[in-house]
Amino acid sequence: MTESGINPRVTSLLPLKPTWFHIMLALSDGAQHGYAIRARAEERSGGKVKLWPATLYGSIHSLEEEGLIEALEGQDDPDDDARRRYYRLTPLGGEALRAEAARLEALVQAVRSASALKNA
Amino acid sequence: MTGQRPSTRRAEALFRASLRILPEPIRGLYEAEMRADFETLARDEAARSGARLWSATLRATLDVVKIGMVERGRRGPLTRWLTRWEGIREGMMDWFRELRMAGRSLARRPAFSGIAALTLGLGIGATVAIFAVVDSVLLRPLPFPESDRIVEVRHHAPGIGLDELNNSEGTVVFYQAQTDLFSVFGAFDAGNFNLAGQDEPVRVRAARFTPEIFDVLQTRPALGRPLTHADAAEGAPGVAILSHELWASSFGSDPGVLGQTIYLDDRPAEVVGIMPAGFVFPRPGNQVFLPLPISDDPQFGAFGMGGVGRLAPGMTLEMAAQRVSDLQARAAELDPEITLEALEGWGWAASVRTIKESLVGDSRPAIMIVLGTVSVLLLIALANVANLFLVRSDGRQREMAIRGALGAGSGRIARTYLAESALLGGMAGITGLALAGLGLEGIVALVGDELPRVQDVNMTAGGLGLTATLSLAAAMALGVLPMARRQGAFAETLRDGGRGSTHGAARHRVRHFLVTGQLALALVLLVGSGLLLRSFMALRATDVGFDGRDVVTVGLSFGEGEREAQAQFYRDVIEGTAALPGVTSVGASAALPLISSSSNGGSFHIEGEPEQEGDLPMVTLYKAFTPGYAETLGIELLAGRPHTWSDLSDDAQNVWVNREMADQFLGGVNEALGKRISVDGDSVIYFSEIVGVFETVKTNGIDNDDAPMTYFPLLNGEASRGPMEWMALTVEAPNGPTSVVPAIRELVRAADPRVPVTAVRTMDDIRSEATADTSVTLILLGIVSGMALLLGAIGLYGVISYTVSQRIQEIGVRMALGADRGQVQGMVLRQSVMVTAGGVILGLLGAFALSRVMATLLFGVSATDPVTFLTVPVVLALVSVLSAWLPARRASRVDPALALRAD
Repeated sequence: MTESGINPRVTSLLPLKPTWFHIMLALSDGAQHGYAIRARAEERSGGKVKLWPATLYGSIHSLEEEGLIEALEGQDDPDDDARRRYYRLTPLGGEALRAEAARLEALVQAVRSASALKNA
Repeated sequence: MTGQRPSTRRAEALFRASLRILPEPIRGLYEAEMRADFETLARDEAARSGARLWSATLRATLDVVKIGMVERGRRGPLTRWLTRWEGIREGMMDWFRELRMAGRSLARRPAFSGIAALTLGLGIGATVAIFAVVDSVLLRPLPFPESDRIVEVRHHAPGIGLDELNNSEGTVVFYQAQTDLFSVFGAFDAGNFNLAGQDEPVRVRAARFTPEIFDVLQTRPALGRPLTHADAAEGAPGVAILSHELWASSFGSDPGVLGQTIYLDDRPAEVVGIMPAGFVFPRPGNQVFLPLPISDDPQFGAFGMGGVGRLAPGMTLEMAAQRVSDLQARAAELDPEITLEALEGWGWAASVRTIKESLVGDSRPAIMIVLGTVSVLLLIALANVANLFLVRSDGRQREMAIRGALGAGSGRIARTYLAESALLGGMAGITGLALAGLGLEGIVALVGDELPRVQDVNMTAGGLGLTATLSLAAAMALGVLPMARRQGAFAETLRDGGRGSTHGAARHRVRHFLVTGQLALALVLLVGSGLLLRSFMALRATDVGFDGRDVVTVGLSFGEGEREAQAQFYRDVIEGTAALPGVTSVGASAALPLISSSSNGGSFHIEGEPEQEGDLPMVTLYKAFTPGYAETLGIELLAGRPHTWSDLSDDAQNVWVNREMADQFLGGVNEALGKRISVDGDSVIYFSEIVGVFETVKTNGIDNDDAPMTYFPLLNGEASRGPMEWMALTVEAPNGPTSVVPAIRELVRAADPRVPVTAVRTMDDIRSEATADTSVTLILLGIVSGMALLLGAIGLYGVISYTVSQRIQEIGVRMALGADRGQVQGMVLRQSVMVTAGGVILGLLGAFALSRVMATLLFGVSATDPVTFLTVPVVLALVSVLSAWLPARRASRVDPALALRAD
């Protein structure tokens, strides 16, 4: 894996905390509000990941502070509760998500090759 | 959307409440969203089932708590500090691990840990309990504002045998005028009254205060008003203030009692106030407070009241003592009949002490000796446990050596030892605290009556601090001890298998030293209790001048009244009692032997022997008594005739005196007969003829000198003397003295239902009480020194048996080479004799050095009493040899073949 060309700011964030990763992954399809993030994470993990409100918004707070996601102002879905805000990935957030995905992929490959050796 | 169900609302309320745990930025920014999300969540889950709703609510709420704590921790100062000093956290974790391991290691040897913790706990507990007594009784100030500025003035006239005198009206008024010395000065006295109005009349203890006392103490009634000068004026309507305790017990804490009238000895008094709970002055147990009048023409002579003052601003205790002392030269101004020469002859002096000192000063020596004793016990316990630790650390030498060889630094190994001793210290501290609590209860139960301020005794913060300090100090000492000898010993230990090295000799020396110390300290304590035991025996053996076997005393308080009426009442009761079955003899007297508080005293004159100018006045105690009194108590009539009821109706005035009176003033027992004396007649003199002389009876405790005594019949015409408000019936009943008491109660009720029966005691009880001070100290010291002896013996046993086990191989060799059992036993016993001899010598030196301290507590025995100083070492030596004999016997049974094979 080549690391050249990757933003050093991103490198310093890796590996991403699992909660962060799930939230960012949920936002990779487009802006969402908190409850939808929870629903998507749960769905994607086959019900294994449950982001309870405090964990979810605690992480959203950290992600906002790190500049990885941002809240969209004034974009309300008329069907939704007015208290809800929408969040989306920042460019930095997208970059970090991709870098983390690449890291995980490399990891999985390493594991696979190791088990291949073992099974041989 | 359907309406919310109540369960959903409750779930939301719970969640909402939990959000408060979150720190501000997160809560402020996202609370609305979190609540919106949770509402949706709750609705969805509730739609499926109630159980799912509550499971989700619980998990969401716990999640809030977790995040709240994590986020707060991340922002908190402790976390920042810990992150900065990650190393410290690591170190703490190491300690936790070490403590856990120490806990397991101690739990694996419950006998060792239990004995060590209990031994130390005993020492700590005893010390803390006695310290709590010292703190509560001796150190803590009395509960009055600036109580260290409240002082008591006392007078002394040793030249006429009156070492301790209180105050008179004259001196009180005199000190009240010295406003630069005392900002306020007041007087008090005490008495007993019959309080009527309840179902049965009760005897109450009363203190009388001049109004100034409330300012001296700066204490007001909790309800109502203090006493005023108007209350104390002559002819003023009676008023009374009740103690909080009497108010609660007899008046149901009813505030309406203010303004009500109570009857004290049939005299009405309006209740004007209730003192605060726990108010104690001048002594515990006063239930009623009455005004004490001071007449307009204050007399110098009658020293019956206590005097206390609050020091004026700027006046120190030392300055006040000097001022009061200087003022005594002016005492002659108080009474025209007193000359400076007379004052000089009396050795007249005055002294000042704080009221706390006056309350607790007398018990200080005994308390401090007991504190010293338990501290010594703590030292012995510590030495004992230290020895246990040494033995144990020897057993672990190989383990430690291996750990050292494997790279554990000395710090690491030190930590192992310290963790164990710290844990043990903690266990000992907790045990000690529990034992101290029990011990305090025991002390209060055992010596409550002899201990001033017993109501104040409790465990204080100081006591808790002392427990912690002692535990910590013990833990440090124990942990450091094995390490001190460990430096550089690892290699050696591994080489020689932990046996027989030069190092071993040093170890034995330490251990011997500790046991020698224990035995020496035990000897000091044993000598102390031996001396007290001898004192106690001397007190018991002292001839008190009467034989009170099978005699019960019953207090009757007729109260004030006409002397004739009083005499008639007592005579009726006595004659009624004499007729009761089982009663062989009966009499009465206004003061019982040995009880200090119940005799009057005064000066007297002998007819035909005019006093010279400047002569010291002659002083005698006096009291009223009845026929049968001397016979009941077995007081020997040395000369003259016994007292009979016909003496009451005779016109002649007769009195009886004791041998001390006859010897001191009247020229001897036989010469006293026929002489006429006048006792305490203020200005008019009424003489009575001495018609009999009794053997001297101890009046004021067993350990006080004999005092002159004059006995007056109940009625003696104008010469009648001695108050009769209260008299003690003395009843001899050989078949169980107390069995006649119910019948006597019946008799008294029939004679006068208003008269309460008080203080039923046998003369044996009274005798025991007179020796109570000594016996209490003796019991405490006896218990402690017994424990010390036991610990010393255990220590010696432990050391000798350990030495034997270490020398098994050597003993085997000796026996293989032909030593017989006797020689082996002798060898082992020699070791114990050496240690014991050292302990005895050191202990005797210590006991001699401390004998001066003991002297104040002793009676009839020298502080260097040879019997004690010879007996105690023998006892100690016997116990020592006995405790060494068991291991010696084991040594002599060693099988040489087995011993040589073993490693």
